[in-house]
Formats: sequence, C-alpha cells, structure tokens
Amino acid sequence: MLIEDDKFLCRAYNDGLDRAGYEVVIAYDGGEAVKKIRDEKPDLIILDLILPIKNGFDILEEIKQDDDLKKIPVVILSNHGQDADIQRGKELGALDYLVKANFSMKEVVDRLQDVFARSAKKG
Amino acid sequence: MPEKLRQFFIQFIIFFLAVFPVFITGYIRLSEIETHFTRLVIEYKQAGKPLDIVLADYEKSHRNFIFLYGFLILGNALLALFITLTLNSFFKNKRHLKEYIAQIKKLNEKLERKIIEKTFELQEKVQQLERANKAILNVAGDLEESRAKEEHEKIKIGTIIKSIGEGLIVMDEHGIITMLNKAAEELLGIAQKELVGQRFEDSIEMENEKGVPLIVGQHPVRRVLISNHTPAVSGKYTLVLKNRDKIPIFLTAALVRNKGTTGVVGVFRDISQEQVIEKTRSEFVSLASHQLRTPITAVKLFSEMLIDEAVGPLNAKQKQYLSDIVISIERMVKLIEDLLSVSRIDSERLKIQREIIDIESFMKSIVKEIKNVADQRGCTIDVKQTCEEKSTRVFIDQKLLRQVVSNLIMNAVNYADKEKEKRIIDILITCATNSYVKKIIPEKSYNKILPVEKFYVIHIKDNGIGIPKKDHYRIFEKFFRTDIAIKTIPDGSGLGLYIAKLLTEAMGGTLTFESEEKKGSTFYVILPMVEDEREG
Repeated sequence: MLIEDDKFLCRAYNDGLDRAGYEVVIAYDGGEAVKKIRDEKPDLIILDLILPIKNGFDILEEIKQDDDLKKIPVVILSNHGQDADIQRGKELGALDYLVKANFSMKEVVDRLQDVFARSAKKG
Repeated sequence: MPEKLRQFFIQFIIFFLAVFPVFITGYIRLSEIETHFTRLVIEYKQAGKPLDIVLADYEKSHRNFIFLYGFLILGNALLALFITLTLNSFFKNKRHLKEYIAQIKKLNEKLERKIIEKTFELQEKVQQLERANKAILNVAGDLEESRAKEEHEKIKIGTIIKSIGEGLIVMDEHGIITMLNKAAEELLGIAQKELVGQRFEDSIEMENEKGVPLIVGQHPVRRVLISNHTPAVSGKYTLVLKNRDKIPIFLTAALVRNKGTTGVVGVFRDISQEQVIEKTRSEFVSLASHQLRTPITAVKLFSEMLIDEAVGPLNAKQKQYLSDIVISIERMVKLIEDLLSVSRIDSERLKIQREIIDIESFMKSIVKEIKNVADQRGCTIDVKQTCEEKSTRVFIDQKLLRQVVSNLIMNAVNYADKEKEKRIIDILITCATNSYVKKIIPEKSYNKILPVEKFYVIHIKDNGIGIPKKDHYRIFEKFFRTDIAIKTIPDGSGLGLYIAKLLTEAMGGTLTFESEEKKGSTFYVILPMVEDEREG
C-alpha cells in the first residue's frame, strides 16, 4: 500500500514497484488511508508523512494501536529528513525511513526488500 | 537802612512808647495835683483853715505820685528793656540767622563746587569704566561666541546621543558606568541615575546568545579592558532585564583613549526584530526547499526509469540527454540539502548530540568513505596524529563533524593540483593550548570558541589551486566561490565552507585557514576538548 498525495510521485512509484513485481494499491490522503488498509490488508505500507486530512504520524499511531493492523511492516518515505522526524517515525514503529529525494527507484526497491526480509524473519 | 540804625530806631520807638505815655499821664496828674492843691490852699486860706492838713495831704499826694509814677516808669522802662532785649535777641537771632544763612550759602557753594569736581571725577571714572566694560564685553562676546558654539556642539552631540536608536553606555577604565543615553535606559528599563557609578558587569545581567550566563572572562567589557590589542569586541548577547525578560542584543564594546584617559563605550541594539526576520526567512527557505523536493523527486524517478530503459529502448543520444538530466537533478538535490542545512543552522534548530569518539579512527573512516572518489581523481590521502594527550577521544557531535570534515576533504580532492605527484592531501591531528589557538585565529572569532584550555586541531592540507589573498576575507560567505574554484568545479553551491564554519562554531570551535594562490591551502578545524559531563 502506497500512501502518497503527489500524483506524479504516485505514478512513478506505482510503475517502478509494479515493474519490480509488486502489486500496488494507492491511498491519496489520510482520510481514506486507514480504511483502505483495513479493507486491503497489504503486506507492506509505504507511508508519506505530509498528507491532507491526516498526517503520516497519526496514521502510523492508529495502525499500531489496531491489533489486526499493527503487524504490517511500515516504511516511511518522505521528503522531510530531519533527525527529529526520523526518530519519531522509528519510535512509532516504522521499520525504515527513506528520504525520497535521496533514493533512486532501484535503491527504494532494494530497501523494501530488506524490510520484507527483516519482517519475515520476525515472523 | 543800615541794620544797626534800624535796630536803634526801633528800640528808641519802643522806649518812647513805653515811657512817653507815662510821662504824659504823670504830667497831667501832677498838674491835677498841683491844681487841686492850689485850689485847696486858696480855699483853706480863704476859709482861714489850718494849712497843715492840706500841706500834709499835698506831700502825701506828692509822695504817692512819685511812688506810683516812679514805679510805673520803672515798670515801663523795664518792660521796654525787656522788649528791647527780646527784640535785640530777635534781631541778633535774625542776624545770626542771616549769618548762618550766609555761611550755609557759602558752604553750599563750596559743596556745589566740590560736587561738580567730584562729578567730573566720577564722569572720568565712568568713562574709564565704560571703556573697560567695552573691552570686557568684547572678550565676553568672543567667549560667548565660543561658549555658544560649544553649547551648540554639546546640544548637537546630546541630541545625536539621545536620538540614537541604539543604547549607548559610557564607562571609565574600571568598567564603571558614567553615562547612559535614553535608548539605553528604555531598553534596560533602568533609570540612568541608578546605573551611574555601578560596574557594568555587576549591574546589568547578560548571557551569551544561547542563554548561558557569561563566565567572568567572557564579558565583552572586561575583554576589551584587559586586552592590549583588541580595540573592540562585538557580538550577540542576551540581556536579562529586572523583570526576568530576555532580550537578544547585538553589543559592541570599544576601548576609547583620549589624552591619557581610557574609557569604554558600549553600543547595543535590540535584535529581536532582526531575529524574527531571520527566522521568517529561514522558515521560508526551509519550506520552499521541502516543497521543491517533491517535484524534483518526481523528475528524478522518471528520468532514472527512462535511463534504465524500463519503458522502452533508447538510442545513445537519448541516453546522453537523460543522463545529463539526472546529473542536473542531483545537483539540485544537493543544493536543496545545503539550503536546508543553512536554514537550519541559521535558525539554530541545530541540536548538538555529543558522544565520545576517537578522532583518529573517525578521520580514518571518513577517508575510507571518500577513498573511491579520491582514487578516481588520483588523489592520495594521508592521516597522521601527533597529539601528546594520552587519548584522542573527543566529546563531539559525530554527524556534524562528519559533515565538516567530509566537506573539507572533498574540497581538497576537488581543487587538487593538476600534476599527479602533487595530488597529496595531508591530514594531521594535533593538540593545542588556548593561547596557541588564539594566535592562529582572527580576533573576531575569540568569543565564538569555548573558553577551555585545550583544543584539537585537524589540519587538512592540499597543494591545489589555493585561495587568492583578495578573496580570503570572503571565503566563508554564503554562496561565495573564487573565480578559479568556479572554473575548476563549475557546479559548486558556494555553501560548503559557510556550513562547515557554522557547524564547527556550533560545537564551540572554529574553522580557519592559510592559503596561497596556486600553491595550496591548509584548513584547520579547531575543536575544544570538552569533558563528558555524564561521566562521574
């Protein structure tokens, strides 16, 4: 599940992830995000932080409080790169924090595979 | 008529008047008596009476007559005499009066003469005085003119001082306040009379710009007074008012010498407004940079996917163009990173997280990271350590130091000499004392370094393009690049050294350099040796 409000980035990541072999579902704002997660139950959540209606941190908190959803691995993909944000994200349970501008599509895919591997180990 | 004759005449009249009637009446009476007695005698003779009684009566009458008229005459004479004496006395008085009057007249004339004389003298004296007065007035006029000029100057300076928006405090050579201007009173919220006679350091509470109370040696007034060659110290401080409000100020303390007396003049202004503007600007840069990242990311991702031929094959030229696009994007991304760094440093949202690291191994790890690029450019990097301190462990923020050192090493690599043999970069770690450090850094950096005793100095030396002398003073400016640097590396941001300097200063150290055009540069990263307060 990709939660991202910029349409262009959505298309780029959608295409890239699709070509890498993933099935991508997209939520465009914080309002529909949690509902869609409940409906779709994705294997991985890629979460942007700056979103309309509800921001990424709030969504993360909500997911982690829901017994059904808290097991889903979350990766934050945002353009905010401040240490404070990274720390908060990790404290709230995100398994990784990527700054969009610094990662090419290939690198993003590699990191996602790392996260999958890690969460698979956790079982 | 002569006075005496008149008097005599009057006296004669009086006597005559007094005595003559008595004579007349006496004569008449006597005549009566004679007549009477003659008749009587005749009668008696005729009558044949004895004449004894008549003669006795006649003698009696005569006796009575003599007594009476004698008495009257005497009386009148005495009266006349009395009157005469009175008149005489009167006349005498009159005469005396006349004499007195004459004397007085004479005296009067004498007096008048004397008065005229004296008046004349006085007039002369007055004239003299007037002349003297004129002379004095002239001098006074000149004095008045220069006094007026002085007064005017004083008013002018007073007005200037009063109206200076900045606070002005004048102190003597002991740092004791002698004068404040109105702006200072208003900013401090203390009346002048309460501060005059007090030492600045004791009466006005000041902290450094981060809100840490000043250690005694750091107070700008004291520093200016005890220094032999620092004419002025300026910087940002925090004023703590009596009501505990804190105001950020920019203060300059300058030593003033005038004919043997020394004093200190402090000028300061409230920079909270400036800080608000800075903050707003910083926030704008930050926001703009963040917003820029999103579209840039989109371009980058799509370009990369195109280059990877993920959506179809490309000819060589297409690949070339896309490759150029990706490189440009990378530059933009780096620029935004730098802008964000700068805005964070400017707005002091920088948090320093210190940890104990070993400098030597730290440097070596950075060199290892850069090794690829260095090798590509044919540069060799050499790390040495000659610190006498037993350990090279520093209590420092690793991330920030990494940013600083990487930046400087990359510069050395980028601007290295063209000849292969000269592309050597020497990195040396040494220790230095506070006084040694003060010798190699410019004076305006003194108040930026932590006042500790010992420092680490990381020397990063290259033999590259160097910095021309005329550009030395600008080298740490935002966006500044020397002409030769632009030629060598066209797409630098000009922010590297600015950020590096600010980061070292944020850690309580400083950054300085030596450089000669075409010969090379040595940059010195100076870091204070700080104890880890968490330990014991």
